[in-house]
Amino acid sequence: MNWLTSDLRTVRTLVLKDWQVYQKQLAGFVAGMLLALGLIGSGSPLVAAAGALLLLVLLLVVGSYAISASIIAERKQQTGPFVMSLPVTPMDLFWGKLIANLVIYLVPFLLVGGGLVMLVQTTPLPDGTLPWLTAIFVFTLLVFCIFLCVAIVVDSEGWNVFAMLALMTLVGPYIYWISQFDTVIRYRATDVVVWGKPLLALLGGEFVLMVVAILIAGWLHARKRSFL
Amino acid sequence: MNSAHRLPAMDNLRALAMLGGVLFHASLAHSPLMYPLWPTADAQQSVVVDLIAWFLHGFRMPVFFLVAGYFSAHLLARHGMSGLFRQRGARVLLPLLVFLPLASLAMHELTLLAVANSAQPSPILRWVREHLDGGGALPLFNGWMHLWFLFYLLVFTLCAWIVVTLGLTRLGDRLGNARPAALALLMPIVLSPALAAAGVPWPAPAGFLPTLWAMVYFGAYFALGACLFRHAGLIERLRPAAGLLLAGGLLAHAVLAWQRPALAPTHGWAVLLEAASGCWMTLWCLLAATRWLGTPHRVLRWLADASYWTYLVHLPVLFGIQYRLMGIALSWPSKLLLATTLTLGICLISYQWLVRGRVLGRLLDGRLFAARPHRLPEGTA
Repeated sequence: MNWLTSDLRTVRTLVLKDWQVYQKQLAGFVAGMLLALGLIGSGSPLVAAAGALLLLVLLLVVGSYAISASIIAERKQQTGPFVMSLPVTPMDLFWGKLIANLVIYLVPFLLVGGGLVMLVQTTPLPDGTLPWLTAIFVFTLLVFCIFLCVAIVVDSEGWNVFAMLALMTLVGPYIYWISQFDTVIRYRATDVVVWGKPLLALLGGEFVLMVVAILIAGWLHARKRSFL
Repeated sequence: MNSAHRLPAMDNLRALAMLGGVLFHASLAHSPLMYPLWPTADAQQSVVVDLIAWFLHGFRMPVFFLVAGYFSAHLLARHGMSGLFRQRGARVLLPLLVFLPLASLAMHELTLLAVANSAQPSPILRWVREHLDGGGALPLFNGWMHLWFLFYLLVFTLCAWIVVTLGLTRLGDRLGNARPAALALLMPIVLSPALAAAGVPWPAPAGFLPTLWAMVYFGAYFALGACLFRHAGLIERLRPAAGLLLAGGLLAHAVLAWQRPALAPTHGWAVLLEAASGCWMTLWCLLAATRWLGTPHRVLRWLADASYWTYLVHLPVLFGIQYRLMGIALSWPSKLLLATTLTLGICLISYQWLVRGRVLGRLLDGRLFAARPHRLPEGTA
């Protein structure tokens, strides 16, 4: 079982390939996100709320789109047999898909996350919202990571669609759940930023889950001797 | 236009726009319109300042963005997209991250000093004094401050990538091939809705988040600048209308200044007049620069090199001077002349002695992280 890639240059080529193939779509998403940030920065509460909603939707869509297009759709197009004819190992492909999707997702994710932190810090919006917003953002990253790992490991399109829908369905209840945290209830509308142990533990747990998901996907891939 | 072709007029125009920026910020201390809002607002006010300063304000920043768009297209042609990003990262992002905390800290300390010591404080300083006396605090960071131009430059670099990736450069080609009359008449109309969201005179979009109106309004000038690099013929096609553009720009501003007391800042006519004045004066400045400043000039070249440093540091220097001038019995022209001259003097001398030829100077001149020329495939122009 070899966890490492056989050739770093091959992985780099695979990442660049995905970046080039999906660059147009990513550019469209980034344009949408700039528009959303511009709406939030307009100052009008109604327009800003529309911008925030657009931002959240785009963030969820960009993740699921990237995975659907670069992994599930490629599988449907039967590119696997073609890849098998190339000097690429299963682990090369694993690292290539993992890194390419993380890069594609993290570009808009960091852009939006940074923009929102700035928004909270520099407008009359209460600074106490920051822990609550961070928890939501980290959860969207977790949803993306788990879906990505499922898509890499599971060949069945049905299971992939199920995983995506199940994870998306969790976003609403999750937001409701963290909104009930004592520190969130007490400080969200104030300018005092209080993270609190439960929220920090939750964030830590989410990061651990991301790592575990990637490790499990990697372990399953490392067992493969061939693509089949 | 050939990618190797770079108009010296653009460098010279940038140098003059920088000088105009120092004059504009200095004159705000004597602007009745800004009296309740500007920290260094002086007791000596004049409507003449409003008339001139806001006229300058209407096209100074559009000129900067136009020049920035031109140079971005130049960089893109020479170094490719990755080169453009590398250069913008080194020459815009890095100075922004370094100078924002420094400028914020300087302004913060200068304002606290003025609040404590000023005998004739401005309304804003009085308000801050009451706020501090009531137990409040003065925030260290107030958005991008005067460095907002750099932030939007980064946003527009990202937009350039979006435009190139989505293959939208054809829209720019259409703009570049547009009839001069259509361009001059339609641009103010198209930009008016964006300006209406901000009101006139438009406020500096200095908040940490990009605002939609500023992205559209300044983005249009940035795009026009990029088009000018690709379609230099547009400048020559606009040239016969130079006189009309100047007259139209002056007239639009005169009517706006005359009607300003009767019009709300977001009134359709006010917005259209501001957009027209800004657009026509920007185009005229471009034509004037290519006509009279089209050849390399040693002094202007040096000023263009110094302009970035001056832009970065001039506001804290100016505030330091104007806070001291607030309590001195002098006429407003004398104070304005003194503040402008001293600020420019300090900025330019410090550039020559402390910046030029040193690491900081090479960073600001873009030579520290000079990108390698982009090798185009054979057969492509």
